[in-house]
Amino acid sequence: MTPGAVTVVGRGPAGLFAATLLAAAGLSVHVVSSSSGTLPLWSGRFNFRDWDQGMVVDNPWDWWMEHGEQHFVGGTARARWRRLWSIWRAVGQQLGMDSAIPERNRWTVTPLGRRRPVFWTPPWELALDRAPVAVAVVGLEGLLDFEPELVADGFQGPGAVRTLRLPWPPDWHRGWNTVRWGAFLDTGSGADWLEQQLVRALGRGPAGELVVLPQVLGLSRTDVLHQRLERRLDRLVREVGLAPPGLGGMRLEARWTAWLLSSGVQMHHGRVRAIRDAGGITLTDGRPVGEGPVILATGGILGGGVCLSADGTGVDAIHRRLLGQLAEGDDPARALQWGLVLGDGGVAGRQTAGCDPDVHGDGGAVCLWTAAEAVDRVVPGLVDRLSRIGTVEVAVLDVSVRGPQTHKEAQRV
Amino acid sequence: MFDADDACLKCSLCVTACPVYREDPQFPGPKVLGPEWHRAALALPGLTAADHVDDCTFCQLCEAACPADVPVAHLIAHHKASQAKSPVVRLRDAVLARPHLMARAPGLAGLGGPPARWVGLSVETRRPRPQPLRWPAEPAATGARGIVALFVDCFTRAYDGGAAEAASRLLKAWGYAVRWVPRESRCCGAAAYAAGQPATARRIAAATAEDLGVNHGVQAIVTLNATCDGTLRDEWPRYFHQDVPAPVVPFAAFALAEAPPAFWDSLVASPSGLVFVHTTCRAKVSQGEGALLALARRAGADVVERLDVECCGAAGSYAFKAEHHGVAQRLGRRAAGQVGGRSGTLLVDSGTCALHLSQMTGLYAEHPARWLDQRRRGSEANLGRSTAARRT
Repeated sequence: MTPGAVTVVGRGPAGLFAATLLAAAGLSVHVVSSSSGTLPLWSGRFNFRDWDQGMVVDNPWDWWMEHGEQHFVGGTARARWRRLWSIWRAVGQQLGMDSAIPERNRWTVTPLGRRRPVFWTPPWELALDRAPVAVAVVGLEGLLDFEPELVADGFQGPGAVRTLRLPWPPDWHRGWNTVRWGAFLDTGSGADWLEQQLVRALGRGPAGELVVLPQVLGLSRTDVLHQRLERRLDRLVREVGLAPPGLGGMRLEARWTAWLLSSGVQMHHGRVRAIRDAGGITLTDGRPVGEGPVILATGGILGGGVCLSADGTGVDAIHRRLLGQLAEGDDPARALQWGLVLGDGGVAGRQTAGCDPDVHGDGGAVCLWTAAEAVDRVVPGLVDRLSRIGTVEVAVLDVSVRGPQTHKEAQRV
Repeated sequence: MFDADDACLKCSLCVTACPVYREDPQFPGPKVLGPEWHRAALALPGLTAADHVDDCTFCQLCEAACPADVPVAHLIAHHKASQAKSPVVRLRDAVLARPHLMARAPGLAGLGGPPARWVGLSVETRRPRPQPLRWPAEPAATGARGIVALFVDCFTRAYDGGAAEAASRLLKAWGYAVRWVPRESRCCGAAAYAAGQPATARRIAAATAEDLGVNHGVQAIVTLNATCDGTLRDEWPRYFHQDVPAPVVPFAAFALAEAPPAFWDSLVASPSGLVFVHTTCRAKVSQGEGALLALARRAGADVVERLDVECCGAAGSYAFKAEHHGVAQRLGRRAAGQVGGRSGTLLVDSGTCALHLSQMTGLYAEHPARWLDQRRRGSEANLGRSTAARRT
């Protein structure tokens, strides 16, 4: 039987994805959160699987085929991943961020000039299959998080690399961080300033040159500015994600929340005191919210679904239910596995199912997969049946099936 | 001072949520003005206030974003208290911090020209026109579904009495007896707290609590203003040391939960035109977002559009102060850009936001209770006409 309404606790990427699946299927959805989600802390990229014991994973599709069993919901099949990434592509399209799902990991460069693998990125973010023929890395005077000379190290190879630095804009103040830069470049005068400075500094440049900027290209008018710069410069322009706060994640969160609200999802602010037997939850101020089954998407780095005490006891922070106890000498990471509460409702998010996205580089995939599992537990088969996200049709990905041995292709970068 | 006042992790999520930080290049942001200043002030008693601390609108979106429960906005309010101000500005702020007294002489809000400039009021910002509450002849003693207290805040009482009357008519139609509380013009304390006068705010709230007159027979306190709603439910227990005698529920949420299905079904007969919805910053913090949109859709609005604005810049009396005029304009401009000259109705449950947004966008702004009541009456009239037409 399909429930009429579902309550999702948590508004990080897993919570919003769970809400998206449910809303797209026509269910009434309530999202409850006691603070911001984690999205404003990162660039908005969704990774699949970047590393395995320190080695770069070249083909994450194959990696999951081989290693899915280690992650509780064992044997995560290629077809399931294809389905989830197809849905994610449609979500991106619905939110104005049309970006293809790649067949392999691509690479990007960190602000420290290191190469790192990357899978799905919004259209504005740097993600490369091969070294570009020429790169111009453009820094901004006073933005210490992005030193062009340092970033340029990541592009060393056959192509030509040059570094440039734009001067301070007229109203610049040394207290400006990325959010301030973004707000400035959202304005007409800010966008004009950047365009003029880039035209002047870059000149004609070599053919096929890629322009790399720090992630500051606006908050609410990024698409307009991005397209304008690419047209005017006649070059690809891409951003490199910086240390938090991350403008890419802020853009994603703003678009996603606006779309969910316009799709009828209700967002509630408050802390959960209890999950009601009759459905829905009660907040600490006594407000009842929602009805029907509850999905906990509180596994993120900010909330954490599991409270681990000094004596090794792990308690589910919302149900106040004992999840387990670490024995002396146990690996504390074992406690992360307690986050996957099976049975009633579901739990979604990065800290569940024994995953460790900080080490593995699989945060995006874990969000998609755990949220989908939780949603399917509430409405069996929903994820497979879903044909549209808003006005966008879910088009099934065509990812070629390769042999299961690609793990051996892992290489150090 | 408060729980978690020293728990800041410096994650900067508060900065990402701050609407003023994006619009005012001089504004240092909530992290610097709240938890960081608080830590510095503990170490250095007598620390002077930072420049621009008063530019904070007290929207509390920073506090709502904080994963560590730091009372960011309330630390900023205490920071504001240490500012040095001229006697004239102190007088102006003392008056604006007591809107319940202003509401007893509502014509004062129209103060313009040189006297307004002299006391530091913005002469460009639209001010409210008096529209006092008319007391009903005989308040009903009981209703079939029980008794609710309608919290008639000081702004509604003096400048939008029709909203309270409309809400009362609807609540009665849904089977409730309605009591208007408090007995006379009182303030929940929000205005004084926002202006950096926490001690005054607590005194004002204590007097309101005493005069509230909500006894145990009352099922709920229904609020008409999003700021009063959050102040009563969330802030009274935590920051004002006041108990709330009954559950506090905003009008829109009460309507969605308690209005009978037959009521909603009766509304589809009346066309609505384009309806914009603005959820105020304080409603986002104390409630969340989506209830007003749901109300507009449930009431059969033809086209509903959400204003994509975090804080509109009105922020109670913030936009009335001359030194905040620029920031208030910049905050409201986003709404103006989105509306783009289209005409329609804007639903918003805050009188000052309604004033500011109608000035910025040209939309006709009104309280959801008024709009719903008009739709009810319009539907009845339409229905009456069509029945009459059938008869002839």
